[in-house]
Amino acid sequence: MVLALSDPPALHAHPAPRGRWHAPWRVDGTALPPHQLAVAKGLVLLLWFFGEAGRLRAPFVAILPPLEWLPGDATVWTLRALIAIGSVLVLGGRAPRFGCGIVSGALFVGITMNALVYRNSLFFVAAVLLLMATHVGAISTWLLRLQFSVMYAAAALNKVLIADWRDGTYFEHWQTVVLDNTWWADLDASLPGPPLGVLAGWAVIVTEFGLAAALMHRRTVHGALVVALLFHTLPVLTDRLTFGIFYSALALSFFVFLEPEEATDASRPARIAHDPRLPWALTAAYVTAALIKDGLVALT
Amino acid sequence: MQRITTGDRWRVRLAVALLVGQVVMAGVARFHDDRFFTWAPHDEWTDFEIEATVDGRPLSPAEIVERYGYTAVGAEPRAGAHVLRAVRLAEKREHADDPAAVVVRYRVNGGEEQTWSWP
Repeated sequence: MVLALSDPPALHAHPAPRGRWHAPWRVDGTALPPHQLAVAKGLVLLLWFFGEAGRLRAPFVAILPPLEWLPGDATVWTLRALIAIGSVLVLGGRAPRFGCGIVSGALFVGITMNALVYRNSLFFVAAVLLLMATHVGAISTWLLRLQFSVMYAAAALNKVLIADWRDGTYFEHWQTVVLDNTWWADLDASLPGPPLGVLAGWAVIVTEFGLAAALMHRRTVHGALVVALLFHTLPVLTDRLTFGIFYSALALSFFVFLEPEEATDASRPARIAHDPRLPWALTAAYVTAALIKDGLVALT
Repeated sequence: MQRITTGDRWRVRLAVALLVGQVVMAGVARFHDDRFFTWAPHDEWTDFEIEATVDGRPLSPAEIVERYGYTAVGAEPRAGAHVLRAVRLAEKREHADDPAAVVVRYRVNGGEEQTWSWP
């Protein structure tokens, strides 16, 4: 069931089905494989649910300086309109790749023209949607999955090069001061060996490096997905930390690793399979995101 | 299986460029304090306090938010350098005609207080 991830597939294109409007819960009959279309639909819904389009701001201390020349309010409203248009195209199945490209482009401009708006969560959504917008076949699916490995590898590399992560200072401060978790000190005192901050910091670093590698190999990808879900769910359970849209978007995006092989095997005829479980999984993820956001679920 | 079009090739190149760009930015991050497009979420927690005066008059907390986008007293969960970058670039690009004297006091991960000033 889980597509092997080892060598990049050759570039072969499937004949793309002609774009037609379909119900938002359908995921078949488009140029995107069903799982990826489900993820794309979920991501655009999450963008609106978490109000990300509404948080875009006029150009200010832009990451790319030329973007500061853009007119303020007009640019913001244009980007919001583009996200809306792209969302309709994705949800309606009319031109999902093009729709993903529009939403992704608007997000990239939005987070780049105002450095205070930039967040890794929005960068993640924009990157995933852009990779879906560029989908041409099995190689595109491979690149999309490679994105996750790049993310984890870069995150681990950043952390391992910071002394405060290696010696536990960051985790200690994060838990005891920022989150004010009184149980942290008690747990630290009860455990033998190195300080808990050191263990936690290195656990995160090792896990992220491990995920970067394991997600790209057939034999380990399934286990890696389980580890990744647990890894990201733990702070949700202990501290109700979803980091905005990130937890929901990432958990939903893991569906791209569950693509049936025939949907992306370049040597087989293009037969887009409609998995009836996908819409329900999408709905479950959406509802879960809503519950987490509203804090209705007591997770601690 | 259809013929590979030029558009298909450019789509793949764009995807590859996105991934390569992230690797490049991860390398750039080794030599630069900014953490954009490098997957550096919550690598450090910086508590900061911004004080600014224009023509000898201290700016109010509301004016500091308006001028720099950050609250006068706050925390930056990604990279403390982003606070300093916002102040520096706001002064250079937005307020070259009404410059302020700015002092930012900050602690990274609860460490020793550091001070940064502009100009």
